[in-house]
Amino acid sequence: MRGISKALKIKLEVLLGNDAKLSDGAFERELYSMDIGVIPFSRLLFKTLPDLIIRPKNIEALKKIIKVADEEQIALFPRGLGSSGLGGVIPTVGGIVLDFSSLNEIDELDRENRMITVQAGARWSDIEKFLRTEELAMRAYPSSFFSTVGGWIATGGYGIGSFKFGHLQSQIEAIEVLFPSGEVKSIKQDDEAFSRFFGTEGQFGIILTATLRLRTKPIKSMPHLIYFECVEAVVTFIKDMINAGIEPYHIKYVDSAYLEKTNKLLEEKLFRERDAIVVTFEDAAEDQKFLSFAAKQGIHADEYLARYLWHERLFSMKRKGHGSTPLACEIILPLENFAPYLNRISQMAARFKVRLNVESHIIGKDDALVLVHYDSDVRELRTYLAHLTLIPLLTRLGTTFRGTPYGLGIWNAPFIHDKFDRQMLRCYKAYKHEVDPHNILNPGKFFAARTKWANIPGMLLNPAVFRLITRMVPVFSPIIAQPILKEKSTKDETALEKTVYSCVKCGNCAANCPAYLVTQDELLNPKNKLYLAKKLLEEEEIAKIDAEKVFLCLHCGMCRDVCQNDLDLLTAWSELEKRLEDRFGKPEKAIRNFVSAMEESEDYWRFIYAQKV
Amino acid sequence: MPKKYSIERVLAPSRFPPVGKFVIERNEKECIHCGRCTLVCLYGVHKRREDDPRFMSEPVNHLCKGCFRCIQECPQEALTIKNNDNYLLLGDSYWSPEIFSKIWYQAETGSIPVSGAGYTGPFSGEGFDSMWTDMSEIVRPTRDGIHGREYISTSVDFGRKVPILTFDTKGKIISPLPQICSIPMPIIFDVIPFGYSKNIYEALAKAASFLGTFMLIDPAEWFNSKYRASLVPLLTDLSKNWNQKFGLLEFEGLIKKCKMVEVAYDREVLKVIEEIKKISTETIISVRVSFGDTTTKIVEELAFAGAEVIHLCADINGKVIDSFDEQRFVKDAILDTHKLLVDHKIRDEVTLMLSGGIAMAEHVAKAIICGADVTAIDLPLLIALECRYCKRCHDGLSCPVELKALNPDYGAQRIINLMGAWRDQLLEVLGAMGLRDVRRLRGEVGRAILYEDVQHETFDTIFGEGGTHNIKSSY
Amino acid sequence: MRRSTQFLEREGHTISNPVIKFAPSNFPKDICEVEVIRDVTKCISCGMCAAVCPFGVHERKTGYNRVSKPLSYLCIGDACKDQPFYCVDHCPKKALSVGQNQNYISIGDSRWTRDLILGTWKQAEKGLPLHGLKYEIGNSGGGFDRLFFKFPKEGRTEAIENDAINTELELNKREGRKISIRVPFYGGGMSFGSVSLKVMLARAKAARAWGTFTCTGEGGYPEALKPYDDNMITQVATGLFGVSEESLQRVRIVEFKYAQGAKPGLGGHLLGDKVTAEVARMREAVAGSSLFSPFPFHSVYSVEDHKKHVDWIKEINPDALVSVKVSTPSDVDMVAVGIYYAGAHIIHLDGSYGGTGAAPDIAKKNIAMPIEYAIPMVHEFLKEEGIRDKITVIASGGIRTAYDAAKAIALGADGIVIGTADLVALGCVRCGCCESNRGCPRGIATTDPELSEIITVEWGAQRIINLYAAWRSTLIDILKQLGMQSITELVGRHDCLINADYIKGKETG
Repeated sequence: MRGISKALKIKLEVLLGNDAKLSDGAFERELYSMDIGVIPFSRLLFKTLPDLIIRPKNIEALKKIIKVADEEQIALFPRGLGSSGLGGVIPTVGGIVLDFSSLNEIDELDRENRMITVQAGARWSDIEKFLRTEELAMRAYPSSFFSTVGGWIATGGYGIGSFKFGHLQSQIEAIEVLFPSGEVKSIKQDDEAFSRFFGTEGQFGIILTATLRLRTKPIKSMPHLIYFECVEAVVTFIKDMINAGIEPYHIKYVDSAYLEKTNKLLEEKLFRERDAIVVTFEDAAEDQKFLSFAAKQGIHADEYLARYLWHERLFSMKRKGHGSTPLACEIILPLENFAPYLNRISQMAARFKVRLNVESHIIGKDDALVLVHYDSDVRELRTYLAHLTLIPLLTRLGTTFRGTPYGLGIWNAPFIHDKFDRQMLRCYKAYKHEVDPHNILNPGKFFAARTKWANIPGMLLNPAVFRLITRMVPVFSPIIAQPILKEKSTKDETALEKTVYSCVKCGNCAANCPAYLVTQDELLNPKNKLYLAKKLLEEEEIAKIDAEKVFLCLHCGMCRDVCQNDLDLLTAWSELEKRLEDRFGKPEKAIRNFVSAMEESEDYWRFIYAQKV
Repeated sequence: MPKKYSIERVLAPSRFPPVGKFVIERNEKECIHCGRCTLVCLYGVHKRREDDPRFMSEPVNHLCKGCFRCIQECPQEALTIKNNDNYLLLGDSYWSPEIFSKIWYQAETGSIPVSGAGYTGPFSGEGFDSMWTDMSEIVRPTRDGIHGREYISTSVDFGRKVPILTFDTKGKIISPLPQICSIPMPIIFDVIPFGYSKNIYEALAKAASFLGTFMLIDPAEWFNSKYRASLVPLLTDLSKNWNQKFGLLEFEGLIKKCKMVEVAYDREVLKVIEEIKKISTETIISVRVSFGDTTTKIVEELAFAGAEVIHLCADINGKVIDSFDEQRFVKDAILDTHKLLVDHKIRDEVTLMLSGGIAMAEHVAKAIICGADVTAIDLPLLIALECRYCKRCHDGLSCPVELKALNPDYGAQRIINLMGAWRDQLLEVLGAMGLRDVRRLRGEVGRAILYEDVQHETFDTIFGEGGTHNIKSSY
Repeated sequence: MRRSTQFLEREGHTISNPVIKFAPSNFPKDICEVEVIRDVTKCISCGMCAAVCPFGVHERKTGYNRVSKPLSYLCIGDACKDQPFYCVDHCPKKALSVGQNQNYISIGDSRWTRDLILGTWKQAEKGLPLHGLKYEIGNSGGGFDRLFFKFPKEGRTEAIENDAINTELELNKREGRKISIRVPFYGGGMSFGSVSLKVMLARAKAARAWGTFTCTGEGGYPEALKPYDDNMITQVATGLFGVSEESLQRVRIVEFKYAQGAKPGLGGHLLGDKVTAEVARMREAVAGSSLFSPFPFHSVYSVEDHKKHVDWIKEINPDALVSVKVSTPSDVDMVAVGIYYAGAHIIHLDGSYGGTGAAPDIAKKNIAMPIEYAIPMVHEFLKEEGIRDKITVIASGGIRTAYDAAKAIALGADGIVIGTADLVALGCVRCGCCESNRGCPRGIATTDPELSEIITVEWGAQRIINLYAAWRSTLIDILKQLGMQSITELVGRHDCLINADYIKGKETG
């Protein structure tokens, strides 16, 4: 794989003209070298800094880029919201990051057949906003509501509504894929190749558009919250319900730790702190059936508590915040192994002296998508690293219960054999070779992680080696986990510090930031401003030119409306600006130009007024 | 035709932000600084902050006209418009907030208040509000005075007029002609009720002199010979000093200097007049009489005794002072007085001046229709100087608009502006009636449409007699 | 072709009523009476309120941390209190309350109260009549606000279909061509310049839809109104702005304006800022200079002179009806008789509390008398003279609602003219800034290109169509309650009215 020469950059610039936005600022490149995971050593293992970031504005531009990349053998890393933590969007060998945020158009709404065609960069939230007045709704959507369509196709496919509507694959009518050869193919659901593009993290081609099947907008959601004595009872209840032929829209499990934190967050003991499920119906008849079925079983909480949790479905990281770094493991498990697995991991966690939170979406009659997470703090590096080792252990344990990891990316690449059987893997590898002979699409991960240093560190990520390691670690875990997370005093933390270290980088803010929308400048993305703040706090070097971008903010506070962690962002911005002003001064002229550019933008006003129906 | 009288007006912006009708509140928690309000407001209420345009500055409330655009366009509903309590608390039930804001506007611009939409006030009301003025149509053509297409005179005269003139065979007038002096508009400045200070007197005197009108002044308080042509000393307590004889001597110089003096009425007033005339036959004498139940008798007596000018005063709210009927309003009192003198066929010989409760230009016109020759105003002069009628000065407290620091030249201009605007409004009314001289308006009760009368005339036949006339608006 | 609607009506065909369509405010937010208040310190954003409210006041948007701020203008207010979906009762944290909206408190004045303004908006939005005293009277303490209908306890013509109640008015009671309008009201004169062309077109469109008229005012007759010639009245006023033989021949009614109620004795005012190039061209004047119409008609100093005027119109357009618009001086009854003898078909009385694009406040408040007195005065005098049934009496100036209209008719008018109400339907809040700077901040009384963008012709026409529909329904309801079948039966029926000032003793209230 080659790096990008200056000449090539100029060539691309000329070639793309106004059809794409190119950037290669040092800070911007740094921003694109990460996802939501915090892996301190990733930079040592891979060339995570891209050489260039391209934000194509149309599909023609994308075609031109892929052609050049294929010719010049330059790696391409497509990127949506970057809301996964497995490294699926992180460059491994420099190259080009393809930012899809400008390819977010809604191409066509077919009201009659209830289908919508959107570009891959469209966010699920955009689609919902668009459909609001059409009496139509999406079938299922990811819990990362502000992520892109392309992103979910490439990574997961299970989310809210998966119980009723199954995997994303079954609600997509067709996709359009761009191959390294420059060929664009429309692939329908009944095509043999169709399924290959789901969960394969952009290995085979770049998804351009997707045609989604919709449903009539439900009149309302009817969530119910039921408490149980133990996990086993939960599973029995769900099984019985399924057997009784009741079809909810969605079922979500939460454990007692989750509800405990919720109570803490609300500063009131509203929820019982035990295992519980939220069963949600969007069909009145089914709801009635359920009510008579469930009358005898479990303990039913007040409706408003059910509603509260139902709305929290998109904020799974909310209660991890405030000065800590979340760590998580996602795994798909057969329902019958759900309880045993949960029991085993809590034992294991005890050895690491961490408190696990478990949430799970039931994604069909037989399976559950389990999300295990726990808090750590990256500022306590040794402990953090110890905590980090727990993740593969949790995943490994899951595989022994016939589970499969939800995604692979870089860090789960060692589990590829657990995700695909031998024959399928062979088939995929052959297909990869066929469509991407130069391996320019998202290389160095998924099939196998390839690190720097002649891949010697990468040996550790070899499935066989890795398996061995994961067997060893539990033995030493008590030793590793010795430097237990100290209760760090957060009293004298400023609002900015608190915010910076509580941000989970979900990127929801970007979807709701008018300044980012109008300027399309990645440095104005609130999430990235917090990253700059982090560097400031950690006394790393900051360029004046980057610092000045921070001031291009109307302080509208809309970022906060969608912040998973409900962080006090406005105070943080003020503090950040104050600190930067002390150091670099205030860019008065840039601010003035920014304000008038905002007011002159039609997109801006459309956005401002779309906030309310 | 006399020389055309016109009043030059110069913009005199207020020193303090006027009290506006509305208050706009911005909910800082809701505001997203989108700037929509700054773009939609035509009046400059909303602005971005000078020092940091990403934030909004405090709304400039007094500029708000209540159009509700910012309210309806704010995407966050972060703005609320409220009635300004300070505005509602201005003045009292008679001196309404609207009177203040209109006087301020006129004093600043010299323009007459013009607005769109229809009339917004109550149907009718007390005092001057219980009458409309009549206009002309088709067969009694109107006059176009305001835009200068026709000349309408607003001059009025002070002094005794002879009922008939006698001529000798050669056609020369042989009747003795009394002293008469004219002012170009039927408004003089009465003594101000409070807020006494040298620079305010200076401002008023300067304005009166500029306008060619009179200003009543307590000579013991202030007298500046520079303006003597416009100053009318008000001499009080003369009879108290009468027994000591020559009580007038101390005023002798003053009387000789002035075109007119005013004496407060008391039982010896005729003697006082006689004594003054001895000092200066050329000085016109006005007798100040408080309106009360006995006023008609006094007026009758004075008129027959040859009084030149009778100044009838009501209280500051236009209420008759010494009366059993506390609600009796100056409008009704002057109507009765006028009618009495008409009945005695002596009305034309004497000048009636009216003061008390004259707050707006329309009150001048209405007072004249009801029988006054000329009006005297007091509080509007102070309001023109931004006074808020808070009466803090009564209690020795500081003035919110620092009247003591007023620049007399500036103050004079504000008063000139106000008077210019009032005179224009008088021209509008005269024009609408087809009159070319304000002297023709005096006592022209046929041009008054009185609420009680018109209600009886039109509604009694419909709804039966005995309608009550309690006009009250709870708004 | 040109007289097609006329023909149909005469042949006894009924034309269907114009279509009422929902036409919400053209601003993103509406002003309402109630304010739904959420105490954010108590609210946990569970979204119960959003789940129960059927009107969309509350919204729990997917992906947002909190429940959205309540959209108070969608709330039905007090009417909700006993409903099973009353959000205040459902909130588990008792975080919700419903109070009075501050903005609502500051709107309106004693003539046009907040409820009359908001009520007119509602009618223009939905086309449905409103019930309740607050939508019937203002708070001026006199005139229409002290008059009420005395509905007989017996004699309601409930059985009569609404469609069978006739609201038609024949405008010509003399010889010659008959022109009837389907509702007993038409639009008053508003000149191009005082309002935008869009407003004129919206009014004209609505007038055509309802088979009635609207008037050009004295600012000329813009070409764009050509398709509406059959529903236009053109005005000849003292300024003679834009008056031409051609424009007089286009219309079916010509109106002479001697005076305007809001500024009787004064000519039209169009201040310099509003004299844009376009307006100036139409008026054959200079852009940017204030236009004050002279006063009076210097060619008219007697009834005979006036007759010459009327004859002149008849010469130019023999078919046209002549309306004479006068203000209300104390001798208005004599004026009316003079107008009849000069040959006019319609006498249009404009009372002193009417609207205007710009007038000195002193004139609006003080000159001439309110219409409530002028109508019976003229009606009775014409009756005495034996000519009441020979001339149509139209009243205007301070008629805000269908109730005012009915009261004016009961006092003796045949029909009424709508001015301000049309504009309120288009979103006017009566801030009174019509004359200032660039004109109306709400895009109505302005010719500023940017501001007039606020209104679209389609929307405006629909709002006025809706308002007229609501007014007509109200009139029908009043007639039904009085046991009448036609609006013409109501003319001069003083006995149907009571005046609150004339109620003695305990009967009050």
